[in-house]
This record gives sequence, C-alpha cells and structure tokens, in this order.
Amino acid sequence: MSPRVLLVDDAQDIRLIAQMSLERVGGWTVMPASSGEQALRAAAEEGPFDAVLLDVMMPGIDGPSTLQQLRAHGLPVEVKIVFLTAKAQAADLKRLRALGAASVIAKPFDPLALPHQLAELLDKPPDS
Amino acid sequence: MPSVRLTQNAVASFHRALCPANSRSAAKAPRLTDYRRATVALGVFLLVYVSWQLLGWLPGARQSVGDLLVLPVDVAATSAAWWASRRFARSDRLGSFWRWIAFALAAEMIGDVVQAIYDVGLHHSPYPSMADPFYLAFYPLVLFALLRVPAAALGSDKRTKTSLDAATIVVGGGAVVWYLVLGPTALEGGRGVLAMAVSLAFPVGDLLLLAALAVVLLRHSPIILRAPLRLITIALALGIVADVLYGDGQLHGTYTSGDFIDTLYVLEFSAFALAGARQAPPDYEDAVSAAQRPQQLSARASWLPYLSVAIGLALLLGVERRDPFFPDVSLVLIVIVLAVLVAVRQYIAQRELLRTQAALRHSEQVKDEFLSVVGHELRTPLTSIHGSLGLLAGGVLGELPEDAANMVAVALLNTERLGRLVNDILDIERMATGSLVLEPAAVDASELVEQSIQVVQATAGAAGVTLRSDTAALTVRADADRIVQALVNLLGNAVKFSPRSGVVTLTVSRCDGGALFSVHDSGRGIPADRLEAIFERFRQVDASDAREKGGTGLGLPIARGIVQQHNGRMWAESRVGEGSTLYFTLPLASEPRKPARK
Repeated sequence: MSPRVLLVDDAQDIRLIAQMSLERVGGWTVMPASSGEQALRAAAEEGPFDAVLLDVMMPGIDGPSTLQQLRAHGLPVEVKIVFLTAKAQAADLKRLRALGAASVIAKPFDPLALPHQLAELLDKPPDS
Repeated sequence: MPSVRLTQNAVASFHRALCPANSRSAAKAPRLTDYRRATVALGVFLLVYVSWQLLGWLPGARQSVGDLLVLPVDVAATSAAWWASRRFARSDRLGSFWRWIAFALAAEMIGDVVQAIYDVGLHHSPYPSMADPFYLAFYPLVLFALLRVPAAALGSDKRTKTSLDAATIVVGGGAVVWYLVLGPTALEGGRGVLAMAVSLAFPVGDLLLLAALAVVLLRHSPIILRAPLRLITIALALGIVADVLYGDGQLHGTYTSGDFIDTLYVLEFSAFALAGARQAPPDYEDAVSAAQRPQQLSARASWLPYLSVAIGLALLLGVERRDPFFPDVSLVLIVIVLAVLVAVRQYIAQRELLRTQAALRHSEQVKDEFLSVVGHELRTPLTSIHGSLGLLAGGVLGELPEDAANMVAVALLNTERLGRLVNDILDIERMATGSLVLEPAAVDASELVEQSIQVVQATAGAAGVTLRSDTAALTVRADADRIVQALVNLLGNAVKFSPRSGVVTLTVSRCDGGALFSVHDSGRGIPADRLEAIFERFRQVDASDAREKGGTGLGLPIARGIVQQHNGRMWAESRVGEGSTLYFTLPLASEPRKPARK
C-alpha cells in the first residue's frame, strides 16, 4: 500500500503542484487540506497518515499551531511532520525544528525531489 | 571731491545691480556678476571711508563729512533690502521679512538725515534729539522682520532646546551689555530722565535683537535665506558692538558724529546691503527640498551657547579691576545661570539621543520584519512557477515535444535564477540594515570546506572543472551556514570563470593568528583596476557575464559582507590570463570545538 500524506497549504496552486509531485513522482497517496482546521478534521476522520506536510503561514490556525493541535489530538509521534516555508532564514528554520518538526523544506521546492526528500525522512529513525 | 563721485558711482552701480532695466519680474535672479559688481562698489567706498577715518582727511569738517558719508550706505542698504523684497510674491513671508528690514533701514536712514541736518545745517546736536526716535525704531522693525522668518515646525524638545540656547546667548550677551553700558548708565546720576531712557533703550533693543537673531539662527531657516542671513548676522553683530561702544562713548561724553565707531555702523549697513543683493529669488525646488528635511540633525550654531558661557567666564576674570557697579557676585550668578542653562540643554539633548536610538532599533526590527515578509511574498509565486515548470520539465506529465521541452527548460532555469536573486537581494539588504544575525561557533575548517565543495560539485562536474582542496587542521570561530554560503559563492564564481578541464583549488592555511582561505581558479583573470570593483553590487567585470554565467551579481558582495561580519577580510589577487585568487581570513576559535550542527 502506498504511504499516505496529509498535505496542508492554503494556496491552491501549491497544493496542486505538491499533490502532483507526490502522487506522480513518488507514488504517494495525498490527502489535501486547505487550512489548519481542515487538517485537524482530516487527521481525525481520514487517518492514519504516514506523514504531514504543513505550510507555515496560513490564515486562521497557522502551521506551528496546527502541529501542536495535531499532536494534542493524539497524532502519534511516529507520524513525521514536515514544514514547507517561504521564510528560510536560519532563525526561522531553528524555531520550526524546535517545535518538533522532522524537517523543514524551503519554498520554492523542487517538485521532482520532494517525494525523495520525504521518503528519506520516513526511513530515518525518529529524532530525539 | 573724488570721494563724492565715487559714492555716486557706488550707488548707481548698486541700482544697476539691483534693478535690472525694465524688469519688474518678481522671479528675476540677481546674476552673480551683479552681486560681484555691488561688492566691488561697496569695497571701493569702504576703502575711501576707512582711509578718511585713518588718515584724517578734512580735519576741519570731520563731523559733517562723517554724517554725509553714512548716507550712501544707508541708501544702498535700504534699496537692496527693498529690491530683495520685490523678488518674492507679496504674500510670501520672506518678502515680508525683507520689507520690514527695508523699513528698519529706512528708519535708520531718516535718523541719519535728521542727524546730518542738526550737525551740518544747525551746527547744534542735542542729545537726545529728533534723530533718536528713528534710530530706536530700527530695533522693533528688525525684530518684527526676524519674527517673519519662516521655520520648520519644531517638536517640544527642540523648542525647549532652542529656548534654552537663546536664553543662554541672551544671558551671556546681556552680561556684556550690562557690564559695559546698562549698568553704568543706570547708576550714573546727573542726567535727564529722557537722556537716560534713550541711552538705556539702545542696549535693550540690542538685547532683543540678539534674542531674536539667536532663535532665527538656531531654528532651520529656509535654504534661500541662509546666505543673506549670514550677512545679516554679521551686520547685527557689528551693530551690537557699535551700540555698546556708542553707549560707552555717550556715557563718557566722548562721542560725536564722525567718530571711528561710525566705521562699525558703515560696515553694518554695507553688510545689510550685501545681504539684500545676495538674496536669491524663491526657487520651487529649494522650497520643496527644505520642506522635506525639517528635522535634519545639524551641529550648526550649537556652539553659540558655549560661546556665551566663555564670555561670562572671561568677564569674571576681567571684572576685578573695574568699577564697583558690577559686583563680582552678580557675575558669579550669571555664570551659574549660564552653566545651569547649558546643563539642562545637555540633558535634553542626551535624552533625545537615547530616544532616537530606541526609535532606530525599532525601525531596524520593522525593516527586518518587512524583508522577511517580502521574501515570503516573492517566494510564494515563485514556488508555483518553479513547481509547475519542474513537473513539466521532469516529464511527469508526459513527454514534451523537443521545442516545448527547450522552452520549459529556459523558463525553469530563469525561475531558479530569480529565486537565487531574491535570496541574494534579501541577504544584501539584511547586511545593509545590519539585521543579518550570525551565530558563531567553533567549527573545523575542513567541515566548511567539505560542505561547500559538496554543494558546488554538481555544477563543477557539469562544467568539466575539477575541485581540489588542501585544508590545514584549524578550528575557526564562524557561523558555519554563512561561511559555507560565502565559500559556495566563491567556488561557484571560480567554476564559472574556469575553462573546461580547469582546476579550482580551495586551500586553508594558518596565517597571523587566523585562518586564511583561498580560492584559486585558472580563468581569464581580473584586470588590476577591477580587483575592488568585483566586490560591488551588480558589478561583474564584463557586463555580459550576468547573462552568460547566470550569476546574480551579488555573490561576491555577499561573501565579503559575511566575512567582514566575522571580523575577517576579503580581497582578490590576479594576473590577467593566468587566473585569480580570492582570499579571506577568519578568526581562530579560542574555545574547544563543539560538535557541528548538520
């Protein structure tokens, strides 16, 4: 069975591109969500997922809050959360890692490389 | 009489200078040659006047000649001021300023005429006389004129500071006027009340002018008034000195018309005349640029209050030997008052400085936040474009026809370049605003070298360039990510300018207590006169390089900025045709190495 990823981004374009990249290049099953709220609902109703790909800047519940609420609502630690962000300053990356993200992928991302980056993370044992 | 003809010439020349024939245009600029001609005419007149004073020509008619020789300067000054006022629209405050100056000078001129009638016509000159009301009218009129000078709106702190400065200047000047004229006059008995009142009115008028002038000088006057205002300041300073000496002369009964003190008055009015001739017509651009920098910091005239303190102290030293009407204790009080005024002003200036610093820090944060948002906003559409093109170019959506594939490849390449440009511009901006924060730690030079070579390897391979490294075992203190960025920029640059099958060598060695990094290429080299230019933004040696080599034109400036922020130095050496070497230094780490973050 192909791995399942919850893809959360408020920008429709980016959802489209990331979904296409993950499905067609990586062979993943993608569950798109356009907001933090939708992501929480999807996590509860349509799980389980192997990974969550999470945009940082979103209206409503932003990426970091979504991460915290997903974990609070019982998303298992084995499910890796990866941030996608267009703010790639070293300080931003550090802050996001500190929240418990498995990795941070900077936008613009390479759609051909994205599935491999994600797959590599899943193969790695969870960080401390 | 030669001097009279010269005088007429001077006046005529002045009129030629100030009233261009048939031109009533309010915006007619006085040509510089006209101003020069007026200066020359005045200079000749002054030469004659001073020669007359010094050489004692016509000793029998000293008083009459003295009275008459003052009149041409009066006329010149009055007409110059009047013509200066005509250069502005009627409603303009500067026009109004010059009009009141002209009225003041006219009053003084009438006073001089009346005085001449007494001396020359009636051979009798009483004190006070009918001339004195006109002389005294000069003060309120000039005061009124100075109040018409427009100034930028001041904040409350600035207003307090200006008031304090003006107060300091007036207290210092007041001490002198009191010491030399007011005090002695007030204490001296045996004269009529009227004579005493008139004698007191002159120095009091001077004090008022001093205060008004101080305020005008300390505020920011309009740019076009600056040059004339400097001359008016000189004029009023001469006038005040002359008045003090005149008061002293009146007190001791030694003054008559034609006294050498009159030279100071003649100089005063010459300065007024030059000021009027110097006044440029209103210029829209000047007015706009003046309005746009109302709060500009300036050290101009800030020394004036201290001069007053110095005057107070000088008086304190000199006073002992003088008359009893000015006891030491009052001078001590004056100096104390001056010191307090300056101290309060200093405190306000200091507080203002702290506030400015805080505002500056805040604005830096705002700028950093702004750059961060700009980066985000630019990268978001880039992500969509890059993503779409990447999927198309990767054949994920099916094979493209060859032409289409080429086009998509071009678009993708340029999107990537645009992305690099966004990152580089943001980095450069962060450096310029000082918001690029480093996180230095002890790190092995070999790790930095390894990481950077890893990044550049693919590009080098594609270009057929071999990367070599030779690294001494050194631990440097550096922000690893940023130094890798700098090294990648240098290596990328070296690869770009190397011929196929060229070699780029990265070496690290110890030198002068630091680490010396060098990146050598065997490219075409950099001309000696461009060795510094390569570190300027968007300044590739050859303008076509930006297109052909795909650089952003910011790689080297960023690399140098990063190194400089590490307290290092970056420079280039080259021989045209034999290649170039870029060097930079980094400080060695003094503490033991921490495990590097990957």
